[in-house]
Amino acid sequence: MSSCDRIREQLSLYAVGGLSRRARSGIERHLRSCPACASELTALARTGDLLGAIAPRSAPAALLESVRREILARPRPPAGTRLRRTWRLALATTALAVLVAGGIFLRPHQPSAPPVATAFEPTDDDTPAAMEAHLAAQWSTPLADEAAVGLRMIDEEGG
Amino acid sequence: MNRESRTPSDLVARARAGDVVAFDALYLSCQAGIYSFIRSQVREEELAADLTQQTFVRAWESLPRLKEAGAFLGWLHRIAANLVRDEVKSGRARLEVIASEMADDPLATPSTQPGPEEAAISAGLQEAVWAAIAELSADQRGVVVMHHLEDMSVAEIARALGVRPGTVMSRLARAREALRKRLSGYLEDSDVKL
Amino acid sequence: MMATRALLRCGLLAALAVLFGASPGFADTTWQDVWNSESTSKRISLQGRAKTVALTEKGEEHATALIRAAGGKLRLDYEKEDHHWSLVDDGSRLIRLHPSKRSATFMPRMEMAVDRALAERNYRARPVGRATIAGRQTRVIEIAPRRGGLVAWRLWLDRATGFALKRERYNVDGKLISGTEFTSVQFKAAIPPDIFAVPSGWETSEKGGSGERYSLIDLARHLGFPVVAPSYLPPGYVLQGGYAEQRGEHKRLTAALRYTDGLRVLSIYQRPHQEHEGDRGRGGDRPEGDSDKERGGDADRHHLDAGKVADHGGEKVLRHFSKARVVVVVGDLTADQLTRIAASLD
Repeated sequence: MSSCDRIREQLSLYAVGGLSRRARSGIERHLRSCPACASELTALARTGDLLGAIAPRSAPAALLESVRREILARPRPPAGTRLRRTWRLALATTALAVLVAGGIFLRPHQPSAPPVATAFEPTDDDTPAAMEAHLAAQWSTPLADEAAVGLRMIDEEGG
Repeated sequence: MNRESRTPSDLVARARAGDVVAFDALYLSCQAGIYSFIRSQVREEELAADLTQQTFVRAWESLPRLKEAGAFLGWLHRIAANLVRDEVKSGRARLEVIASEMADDPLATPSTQPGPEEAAISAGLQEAVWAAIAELSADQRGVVVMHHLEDMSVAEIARALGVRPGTVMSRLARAREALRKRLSGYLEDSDVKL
Repeated sequence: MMATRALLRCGLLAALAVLFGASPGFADTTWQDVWNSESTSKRISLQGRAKTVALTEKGEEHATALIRAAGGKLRLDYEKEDHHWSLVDDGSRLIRLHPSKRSATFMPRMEMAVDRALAERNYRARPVGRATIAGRQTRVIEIAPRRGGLVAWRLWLDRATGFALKRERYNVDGKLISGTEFTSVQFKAAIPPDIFAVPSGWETSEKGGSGERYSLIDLARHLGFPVVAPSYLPPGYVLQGGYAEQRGEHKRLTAALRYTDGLRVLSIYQRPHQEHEGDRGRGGDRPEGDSDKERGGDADRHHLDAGKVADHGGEKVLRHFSKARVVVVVGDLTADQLTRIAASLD
């Protein structure tokens, strides 16, 4: 086996940084006088560069919602509290009670009734405030036309 | 984009304390890396998505047990790796992935979050690199994705997989050799400004 | 720390995916061009003039603007008839500058988590030709919903830089609701950094909420009243987050739920009824001796359209009242969709 063959066996390990300092200097000594091995190392290094430039794949967009839903369904005590099992159950029940008491429904099950004619009419006009906030949100969305959103913001304010 | 106090270890600490919004942000940052890692190990897309979900949910539940916020990423991968291993052991998943399947992944869509710019390589080259990765063994695929895609250190990868750093190194080295051969045609490509 | 860097890289690498259009076997690179263009606008430095038009409740509004951008910040100096004002996005807030009054108003810059995958799921992007804008060659791209529907955006991307020199936005009814076109532009212009800051000595004020994003449960806790989510959503929309708003004359605390289909935004505002809102009775009866301000402003404007969808140019707005709460739904949707959303909150 030629010295090049021996070096080649080690080159990939060298390229990923897995060699001891002594082994490294042995390789480097050889590389200084061997263009063939040097170019092989370049090829290995470039392969590494290519790997560094690939992009990850995103999980399906819907996963965010699923994860959130599961998280919200699992209230847990903050770090540092080591609860015994019975306490944990009590806490979970309490948390559930709080949720129910707070009237927080993520998916209301009541059949929806048509809006009832109310015996009162609100005096505040929430609409301008709502539009203003909506426009502010639009500012940061993709493809937002900031110049136009800005123009509308002023307009909603009445100039 | 000014993220102000949204530094990763800050996020981890807040999530650990029960802050759902902070965990949200962690999910958004890490989902692509975890999904890519799992996807490199497991054949079915739906299963990969499901395991990704389980990884994050389990992470949320176990976060109080994580002592060092800085170890979050490796720890998260450990959860993912264990889930994958359990799936494989149960026979519900196979580790073999056919190259053409990985290459024609209809689910592969660009990821979330805008950020600073870096050199771009063409879509065709992306495809070729992924196809080459797909032909590696499952072990090698895993370390390649963790090291090159997610910038994890050898020590972190070793902790995540429960193996010695030397093992990680040799897997990376063998993967590098195999990929160098498969991608030889692209290594002269002047398209690639790196 | 390696791990922290690695964690940061998560986000950076995720961004790379966008640039690369990481979808092997997926031939459509037009979206890639769109995202590249979006990213470019965030970092490019330029100075230019543009004319802009926006459809509002009152009709078409026109203005011209001097636009300057550098280091991720943006400044727009508007001229509309004889009215001048400026808007600055300094990366963390929006600032409205009133030069004549030497005052500035700070507004939160919403933390909208951008989900490009979602946008691509719901919309397709295709090249439709070329045009010259501001003396430069551009490629024209149309973006339309995959589920069918009219063109939603047209973008004219500069061939050299990718920057969008012209853009037009259409609502679900196909109406042109906004457009901005550069008439002249200079890239890599030297922009002095102080134009993005408020001059010293000016009076400043704040408006709106914090812009911070909450989960629904945290939002309810923060505001102190229950927050409900609709059980009906138009296809393709996902919850983006909850925000606490405090706007309007009375600075009422309101919960804002934001949904997005990747490109369009749907806002659902809700707040509990205020006590005095029960006192009024119908038909413009105004008790004597009460100041307008105390009662919430101009009475005539308020016999709105409760339950009727109003057109605000781009978006439609629906106010909806139930026993528990006052709801306002704002979105670029059909009237029917808005109504269904509101109804599903009860």
